[in-house]
Amino acid sequence: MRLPERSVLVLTSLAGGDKHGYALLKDVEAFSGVVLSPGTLYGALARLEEDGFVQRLDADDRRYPYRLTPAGRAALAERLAESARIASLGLRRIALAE
Amino acid sequence: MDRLLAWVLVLYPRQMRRRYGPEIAELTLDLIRLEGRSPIGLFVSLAVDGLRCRMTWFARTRLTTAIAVTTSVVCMAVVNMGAASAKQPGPPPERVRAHLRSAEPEPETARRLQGAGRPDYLWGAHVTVRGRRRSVSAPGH
Repeated sequence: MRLPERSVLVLTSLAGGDKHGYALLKDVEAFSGVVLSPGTLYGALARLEEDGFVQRLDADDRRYPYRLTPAGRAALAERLAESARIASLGLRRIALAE
Repeated sequence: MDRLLAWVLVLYPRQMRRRYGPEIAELTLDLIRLEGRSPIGLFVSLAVDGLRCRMTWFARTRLTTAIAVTTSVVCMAVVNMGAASAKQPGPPPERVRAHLRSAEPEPETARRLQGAGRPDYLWGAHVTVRGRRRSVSAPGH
């Protein structure tokens, strides 16, 4: 199963530690420049939780922090390795063409 | 604003609304309060995401149903095929066996029976069944 881009952003953010919705949005915006809307964020979180890649922790106030599971970490590692391989190939080809 | 937010959240699938609705509402209000984002823009974005979520959810549910139905049909077909192939012709009923025991082959038929490896050697032969002379006919005749 191929992870969508927004899921990769959410998992990458959670790889840095547990976060609730607002912190996730700000972190994703800071490291990627992508501004997720609340609906997009929770759509991705719902799918990731259903797939067992993230876990919702107990709420503090009305905010639930989310945590990356071992399965989520493995899926993210696989996806990033694939992206890195494609990026490396692309960069080599660009260098050859110049 | 809370009422408008509640209306927009109705666009999301029920399961998602129940689990994540309060969090989505809280995050939206945080973005308005803390960052001064435009409520109209956020609500429109929420509505579009809600419709998209609903369509995705609907498509996944239909796909799951289609897979379940197909699997059931295939399983039933396999079970039926197995049952059909397992059906072997059983021994003849007692009435037929008694009938055959009562048959006395004529001398010519007896000779054929001794040398015959194939049942069609018997077709046309004569036997006596309960005192009445009968000929052995091929199946279907």
